[in-house]
Amino acid sequence: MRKKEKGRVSPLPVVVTVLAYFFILLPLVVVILASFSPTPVLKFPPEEISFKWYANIFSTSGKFVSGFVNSIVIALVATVIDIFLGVTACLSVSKYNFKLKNVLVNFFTSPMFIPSITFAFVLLQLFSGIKGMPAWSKILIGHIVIILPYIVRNTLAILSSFDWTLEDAAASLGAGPVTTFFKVTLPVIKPGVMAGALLAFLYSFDEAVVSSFLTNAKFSTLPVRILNYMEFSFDPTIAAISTILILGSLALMLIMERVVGLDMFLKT
Amino acid sequence: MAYLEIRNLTKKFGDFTAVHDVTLDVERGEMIALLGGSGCGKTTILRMIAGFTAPFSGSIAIDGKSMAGIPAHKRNVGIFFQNYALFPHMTVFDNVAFSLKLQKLPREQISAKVNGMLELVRLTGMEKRFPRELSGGQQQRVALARALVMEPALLLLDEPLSNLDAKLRVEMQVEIKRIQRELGVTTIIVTHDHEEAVSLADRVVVMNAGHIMQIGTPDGVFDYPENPYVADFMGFTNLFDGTVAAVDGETVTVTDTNGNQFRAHDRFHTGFAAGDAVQLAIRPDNILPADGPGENVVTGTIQNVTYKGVVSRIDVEGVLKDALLHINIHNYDSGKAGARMDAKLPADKLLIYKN
Repeated sequence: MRKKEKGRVSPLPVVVTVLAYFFILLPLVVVILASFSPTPVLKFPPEEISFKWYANIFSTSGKFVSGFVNSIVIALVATVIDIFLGVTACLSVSKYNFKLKNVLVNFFTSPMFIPSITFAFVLLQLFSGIKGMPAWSKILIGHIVIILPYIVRNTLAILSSFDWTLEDAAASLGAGPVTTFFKVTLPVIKPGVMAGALLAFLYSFDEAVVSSFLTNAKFSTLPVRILNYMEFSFDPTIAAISTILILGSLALMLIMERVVGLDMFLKT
Repeated sequence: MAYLEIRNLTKKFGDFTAVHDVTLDVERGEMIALLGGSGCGKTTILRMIAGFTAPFSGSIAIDGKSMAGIPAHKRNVGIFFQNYALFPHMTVFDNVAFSLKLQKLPREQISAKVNGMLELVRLTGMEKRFPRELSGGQQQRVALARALVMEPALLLLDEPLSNLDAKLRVEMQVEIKRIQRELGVTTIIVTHDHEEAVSLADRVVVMNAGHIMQIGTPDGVFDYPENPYVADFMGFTNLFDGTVAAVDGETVTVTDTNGNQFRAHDRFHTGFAAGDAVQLAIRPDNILPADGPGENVVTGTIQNVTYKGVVSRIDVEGVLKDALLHINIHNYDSGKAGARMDAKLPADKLLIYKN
């Protein structure tokens, strides 16, 4: 690693960076403070600390807990399915040369470039023609499509530096194609796949547009429940949920940092 | 019947023929080198033997068993890859134990074999290290141990010494030879380096553009290349044209394009006749300084002297028609540039080829 150069740092980049972080992080601080406010309207500085909005998460008619569980389940199932789809797709385009290879890669990542509202509308139209489809399956299918690019991009990035002679080596040592994949290829590319999976999971968990188009009274995800709640009441319950989610994401990131190393996210 | 039999092996990539009708026998326990420049087809042959790519036509048999249609993982061919291809997520022990675990051997047996092999390649104590924590030479030993531990029917070495520095090369050369002798495993080395080939192998196969140019013992190929291509590849940097003036038994008198007269020995019993267009070849190390005129002695002007360590190379002008005559001598003297020099091209070292 390169040693840090000593000497004066030009003040302009420092000021810009500090300001940028300030404007990004300040709203988070406001949200966290608001969640502990005893009154529905945030006063600054807060006069006392109250946990009543946290209690409210469980007691209101907002059904936040079931929404949370639904979001987690949808995000998990969609991510697991996409790991399978994404990794196999990436392997084929990385390992073999064929016509329309780039077209295929662009196709896999295209959901990233299509406005989600457009995609949500198209899905709504499509699914309205199919009778008896439960809302959860519609949302799941929608999420499977929109989060795939995150896994594909990260997996392709790590595969671009994968040494394919490792597979030849495994074969020469007696490993068939399936064994080679599970014992050699997958373990080596795992950090990239995991990084993509984490991004995909968080995206799905956070997703509101597609979900709100495809939801119904019986099944809904947390972001949709939050949106619905905010239509009628604008109190710090949402701030309390947000605080929990901020801490949850932070914890998840720390765990991933421990497991695969966060520098994976910096690779493109 | 030979242990490894390659018969009329041909490989095409589209219109390009990478390997052209190659036939080769390798005896059990023999160490053979496929030698040639890049694109000569040597690596393609290796990949066909390994089972990574299928031949266009021809056959490969190991110990009497045809390899046609047998996938790579069922061939029991150990391969040493040029970049080592060690599994980065496994320790040294797990890398070496990989094939044994797949064979579902009992744990103690795996442990015993791996430790024995690590001892053989002198890596005891490194079991728990990961490849990235090893030096290049150590990684290479792991790669060798991994390929050998499964007791392969055949060992393939792809450019085994190319990634090492000069000192380590010599060391590994000795090691590879020792281990190969100790285990008696039939080995094929693929290399572009003629020194590596002649120092390691029992027999050397020189290839060019998918064809075998010469098969022979290391000293045979090194000292007496059978055609101008192999001569050039083996470091006969003095290659020039001439015409046969007279033939007396196996002694051929040649006049080169610059009017010099040389006597050469028809070593390969080619059978020359007066008027034949020929090529002459001699290694710079085989030309001797001479005092005054004599048989096969030429005179020229020293253009420059280059110090090369053990030897110094003298480039002599005015002997050959459009080229410099290269001579290697052992004592360096830069002041010689511009001086006249007599040099003898000994008849027994001067090789002659029919054009």
